[in-house]
This record gives sequence, C-alpha cells and structure tokens, in this order.
Amino acid sequence: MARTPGNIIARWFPVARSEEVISRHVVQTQLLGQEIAVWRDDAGSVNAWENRCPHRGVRLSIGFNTGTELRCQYHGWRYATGNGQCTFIPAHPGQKPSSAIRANVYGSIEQYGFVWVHLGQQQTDTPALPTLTAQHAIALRSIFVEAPPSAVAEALLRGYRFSADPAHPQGSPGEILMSAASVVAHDAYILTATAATHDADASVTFLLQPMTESQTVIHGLLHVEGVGTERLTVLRHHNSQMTAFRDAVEGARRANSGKPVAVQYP
Amino acid sequence: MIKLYNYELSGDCYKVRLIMDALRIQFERIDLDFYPGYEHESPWFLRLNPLGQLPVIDDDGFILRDAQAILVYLASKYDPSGLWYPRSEAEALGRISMWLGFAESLGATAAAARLHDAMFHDADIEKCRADAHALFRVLDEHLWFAEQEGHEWLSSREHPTIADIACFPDVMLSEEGGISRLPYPAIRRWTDRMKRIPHFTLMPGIFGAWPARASQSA
Repeated sequence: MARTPGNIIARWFPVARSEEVISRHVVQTQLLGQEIAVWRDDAGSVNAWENRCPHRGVRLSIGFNTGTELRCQYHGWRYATGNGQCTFIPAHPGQKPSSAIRANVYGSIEQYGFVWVHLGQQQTDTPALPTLTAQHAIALRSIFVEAPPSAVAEALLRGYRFSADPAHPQGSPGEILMSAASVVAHDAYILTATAATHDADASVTFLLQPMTESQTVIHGLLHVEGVGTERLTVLRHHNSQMTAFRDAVEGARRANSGKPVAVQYP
Repeated sequence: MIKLYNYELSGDCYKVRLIMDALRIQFERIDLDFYPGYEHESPWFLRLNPLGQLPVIDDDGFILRDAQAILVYLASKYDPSGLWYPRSEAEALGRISMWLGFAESLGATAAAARLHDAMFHDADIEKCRADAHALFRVLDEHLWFAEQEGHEWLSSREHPTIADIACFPDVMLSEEGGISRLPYPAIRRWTDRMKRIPHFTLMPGIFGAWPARASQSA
C-alpha cells in the first residue's frame, strides 16, 4: 500500500454508508491506496478486510458473502466473519486449514450512519472516533471526486452553497434560496458547512475519505433543525449541490493541470 | 426453433442469451469465430446482416439483427406476462426505450474499450474509458435514488425489464476494458440483484451471486 504517516494509518475514516453495506453483498472501496472489501454477516456484524485473498491474491470483493463467511471466487477458500480465519480449502476437504491462513482484518466500527475503518494495528493503535452530532442526522449520498483530499478540502473552504430549506421555495416561485455556507475545517478531513434561512438552520458535516493520492470520497452528514423537510427532497438537493461542486473541482483541475485555482460553480 | 448467431464472449449476444433463458425459450446456437477469425465479416454472414454485427436471430425465417431490437421482439412475442416489456404502458415503454438508448451508448464506450483491450479493435481508448465513466456516474446516481424510492430496477417497476438486460453486460464486463466499478456502489448492488434473477445465465468473466437470505423478500 501507499506509504503514509503513522498518524494517518491510525485514524478512523468513513468508507461506506451503513445502509449500503447490505446483506449478502461485498462492498469494494479504497482507503489511503489500500483496497478494502466490506461485508455484513447475517447476524449484522460488519467486516472490513484487505481486498485480497491470502491464497492467490484475487480480490475478495468478487467473491461470495455467504452470510457467515467470505468465499473466494478463484479456488473457493472460505474465511470466517470476525477474525478472517480460513475455514475450508476445497482442494483439501479433510484438513483443517492452518491458523496462519487468515484474511487481513482491519479495525471497523459503525457510527453516525457510516462504516469507519482504520488501517493501524488493532491491538496497539486503535484510535478514538471523531465526536459528531448524530441527532436528527441524515447520511447523504456519498460523492466520488477525481481530486486529492487536500484539493477537495481547499475548494470546500473557498465556498459551498446549499439551501437550509430546499422544500420551501423563497423569492420567485420555484426558486430555492441558496446560501453561501460558512465552512469551517475541523482538521484536514472533517469540515462543517452551515447555512440558514429565516426559519431553518442546517449544517452538513463533510467527511473526506482519502481513497488514493488523487481520489476522494465526500461523505456528508446533514443536520436540519426548524423544518421537517421531506427526506428525499433534501437528499436530492444535496446530491445536486455536491455533484455540481465535484464537477467544478474536477473541471478546474483539468483546466489547470492540477494547479490550485478558485472554484466557481452555480 | 430460434437460431441465434452467437459469439460466446460478446456482450450483445449475452443479452439475447439472458432474455431467452429468463423466458425459458429453447434456441439453437450457431457460433461464429468473431476473434481472431472475423467470421462476422465473411460473405455468408454479410448476406444475413450487411452491417457485419452480432447477434442475429432467425425465428422460423424472420431474421432480426441488433441486440436491443431482438430484446424488444422476443419479450413482446414470448412473454405473455408482459413483465419484461409492458407493451401497453406508455410511461414504461418510454423509460425502457430511454435505457435501450443508454445501452447503445455503453456499447460505444465501455464495450469498445473491452474490444480494444481484449481483441485489439481500433479505438480512442482514453476517450472510451472517460465517456464510460461519465455514463456510469449517471447510472449510479439513477440507481441510488431508485433504491431510496423503493425500486430495484432501471425502469422503476417491480420486475426487471429488457432495459436492465440491455445495460447489464457492458457494465459487468467493464473491467476487461480497464474501467473499474469501485466508484459506483449503487451499480454494484444492482448487478448483484441482476445475478439473482431466476434462470440467470453466466458467461466467461461474469460470476454468479450467493443466494439472498431466505427471510428476505429481495
């Protein structure tokens, strides 16, 4: 995997919305250059493993989630939920697989509507989760961006717009009052954008997942107070603003060969 | 019996095999040596399809080319339930036609990249891949919001339609053209659902899915 400072390895990052880690499915994602297979067993526990079969290196994300084990697509080796221990090797059905054969298991936890993963040693470097407000929170659609996390964070700080109350048009009919949000960075990967109308306050906490040095996922956790806006309307509004933001960041990077520029978007 | 002029590694031929198996239609395969033999450019085949493209079907003398057209024909003729192609519902037909057009665009991008990488066809490979990613973004967003609205399939119906079949192969084979689906989690969930359709058939490069939990409806 990519060389990264130890303090980044021993840090929790969100890698998927919890509700998207569905039954009998394997989510394929990436964190700091490392591909990860995320899957939920039938009892509801989530696993986050290096996306590589210990036998021949094939991606586990093309394998089967049987509900209790992950079965590799290549030679059918099976790995148990929890500790990743190999339980069965089809070519040697009568032998108990060595305890040394196990998937590379990463620390994972579900909190605030996301699955969080850290790449550090579980025994020695389990970090603390960031403290977020989870009450009345909605996990937005996550957006993939072809840009480094630092460029995404810089662009967010320069400007992000959304409506605190997208279901209630203000001004001319059908027009949504868009506020330039006030954006605060808590650190390099967590930023909060706040916007208000006369009767609603809303904030989005952006959680950046550094996939690779040049690719980022923006996860969003929305807090709304004051109005009971319909969930789907809110999700569509933020998806539209976040994809416009993504297109602007990517467009600016293409136009300037990666040099930082001021981002303009609707 | 219907004859299918077929190439096992073709995504377009796979669409036809998928609908025939889903509808339990018996058919006879006539396999062509597409690569490296280029048999689809031979005089005998050009008499059948002057465009020199697979698939073609021959249904008791009725000859039809073009994967999307064949899906429309077979579902209209051999699916009395009308679930795969609801012939009398205007909105459904409009939506399905829209996705059949989308499938054509996938053929010009994702499938072209695969033909370039696997069978040495001419293509502007970087443009094919970039255009395919742009389409995948549209598809992923559509499927994500479909799920939020309680739908599992492209045309917002309870049952999959020929729209899903038309789009599935070029999406599922994209990695053979260097197009990763890692950034498209909603597409990956939809492809798992596709693999659980009764009588779902496989092709080289496409694996099945483990059965869903018995207690679940989906």
